[in-house]
Amino acid sequence: MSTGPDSTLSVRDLTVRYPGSDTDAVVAASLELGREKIAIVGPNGSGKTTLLKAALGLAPVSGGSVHVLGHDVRTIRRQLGVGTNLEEVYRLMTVPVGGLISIWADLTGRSDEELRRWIDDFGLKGVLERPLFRLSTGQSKLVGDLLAMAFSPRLLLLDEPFDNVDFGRRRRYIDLLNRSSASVALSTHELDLLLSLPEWGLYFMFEGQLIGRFRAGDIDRLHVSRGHQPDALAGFHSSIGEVSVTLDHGDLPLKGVSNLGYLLDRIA
Amino acid sequence: MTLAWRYTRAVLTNPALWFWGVVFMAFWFVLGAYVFSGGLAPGHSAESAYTSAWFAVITLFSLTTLAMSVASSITYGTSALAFGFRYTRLSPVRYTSALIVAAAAMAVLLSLVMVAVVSGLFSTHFGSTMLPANLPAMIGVAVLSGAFMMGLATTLVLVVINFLGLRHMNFIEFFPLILSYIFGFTQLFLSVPAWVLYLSPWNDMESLLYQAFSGTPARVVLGTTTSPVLSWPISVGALALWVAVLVGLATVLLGRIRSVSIQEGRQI
Repeated sequence: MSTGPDSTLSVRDLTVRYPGSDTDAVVAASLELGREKIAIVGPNGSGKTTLLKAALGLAPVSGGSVHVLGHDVRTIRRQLGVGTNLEEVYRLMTVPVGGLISIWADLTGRSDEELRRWIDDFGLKGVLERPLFRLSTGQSKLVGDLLAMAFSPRLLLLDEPFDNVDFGRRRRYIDLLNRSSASVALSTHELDLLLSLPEWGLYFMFEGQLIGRFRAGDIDRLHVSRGHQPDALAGFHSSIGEVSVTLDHGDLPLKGVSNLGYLLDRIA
Repeated sequence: MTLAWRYTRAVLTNPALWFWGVVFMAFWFVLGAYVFSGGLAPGHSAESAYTSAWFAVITLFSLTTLAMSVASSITYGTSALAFGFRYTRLSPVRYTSALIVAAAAMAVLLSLVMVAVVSGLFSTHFGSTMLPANLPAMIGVAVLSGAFMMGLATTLVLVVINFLGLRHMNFIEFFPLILSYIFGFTQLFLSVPAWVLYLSPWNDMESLLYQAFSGTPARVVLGTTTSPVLSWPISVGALALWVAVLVGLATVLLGRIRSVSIQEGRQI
C-alpha cells in the first residue's frame, strides 16, 4: 500500500499485543499525519508509548499497518529522517553523551554542530562526559529530546518529552518544536501543555483506543459524556460503555481536569 | 570515530575479558607447565609438542570467553539496533563487521598474550626456549578464530532474542564454552576419525593453533607422533566456511532483531 507524498506517518487499524499478554495495548488505531504537528493525550497505560513504539518498529504489530515516510514499518530500512526521544533507542553501546552524539552523527551522516550548541544553550554541557544512565531523569529526558530534534528529522515521535523537565527548559523546547519544520507526534498525559500548542492537532487515547482528531486550541471547549451524543465529534467504547466527546457541552468539561486517569471514573 | 573502532576500544579495555580471558587462563598454563608435565618424556620435541597442545587448547577457551562476553551485550541494545537499521545508515552488515573487527583485534591480542605467558612459563620449566614457530600464521588463525567465535556467539544470542526469549540466555551463553571444552579435550585424549575433527570448528582452530606454535602438522591426537596427520588447508577451509555461514546467519538474524526489554532476562 502506498501513502501520499506528504504523508509522514500513516497508521491504519493498528493493533498491538505484546507476547504473553491477553489484552491489546493498542486497539484498531488509525491516524494520518502530513506536514503537521499533533499531540496524543491520555492517562498512563493508555497505549500512547506503544503506539509511538509501533511506528518506530519497536512494538509487535499484530493487526493493521504502519507506514513511516511512505514505507511499511516492517520492511523499512536505512530511511533517514525519523527522530525520537525514547532512551532505549540510544543504548547501542555504553559511551558518554559526547560519544553518543558522535555515533549518531556518524550513523545519520549529518553534522552534530547544532546539537552540541543546543546542549550548551540548555545548560547541559556537564552531561557530555557521562553516559545517559548516569544522568538525572530530567537531564536524560532532555538529552533524548535534543537527540530526537538533531540531524534534520522529517518526522519526530516524542514520548512524554517534558517529564521531569523544569519549566524554563520546557518553554525553550516547545519553542524549538514550534519552529521545527518536522512533523511531530508527541504523547503526553498533561492537558495543561496543550495551551502552549494551540495550533496543533489533538488526539486522545484511552484503553488502547485513539480518539480524534481535534484541535489542541479547543481543549477549553471539549467535554466528555457517557453514552452516545448525536452531535459528538467522536465517540468510543470503553470499560464504562459508550463515551462521547462534544464541543461546548457535555457531562464533564476537559478544562481543569488534572488527572486523566480518573476521567472515565468521574463520568461513570 | 567509526563504530568498529569504538567497539574494538570497548572490548580491549573490558577488565572482565582480561580477567577471564587472560588471568584465569594463565592459571591453567601454570598447571600445565608445573603440575601436569611430570610424566613427560624428556627431549625438546616432546616438550614442544606438549607446550603447543597446551597453547592450542587454552587459547581456544580464552577466545570462547571473549565471544560470549561481547555478543551478550547485544541484549542491552535490541531497541537501538531495531531503530538503527530502520532509521539510520546502520546496516546489519556494518554492525556485524564492527563486531568481527573488535573480536578479531581482541583475539589477536589474546593470542599474543597467551604466547608470552606460555613461552615464559614453559621455557622456564623445561629450561629450553619455547617460542611459536610461525607467528604470522598464528595471528591469521587468531583473526579467523575471533571471527568464528563472534559469528557463533552472535547467532546464538540472536536466536534467543528473536525466537526463545531472554529468559533462555543463561542456558545458551555457556553453550560455546561447553562445546570448546568437549571438543578441545577430545583432541588431546581421544582418537576420533579425522573427518570429525575437520567438521568441528573447535578442532580446526585447535589444530591450526597447534601447528602455528609447534611448526609441525597437527595430528588426530595432539602431541602424539603416531596418530594420522591432519591437513591444514582442509582445516582452514572448513573454518572459513563455518565463519561464512555463521556470520551470514548472524547478519540475517540481526536484520530481523526484535526489540526486547532486558528485564525479560531476569531469572528471579
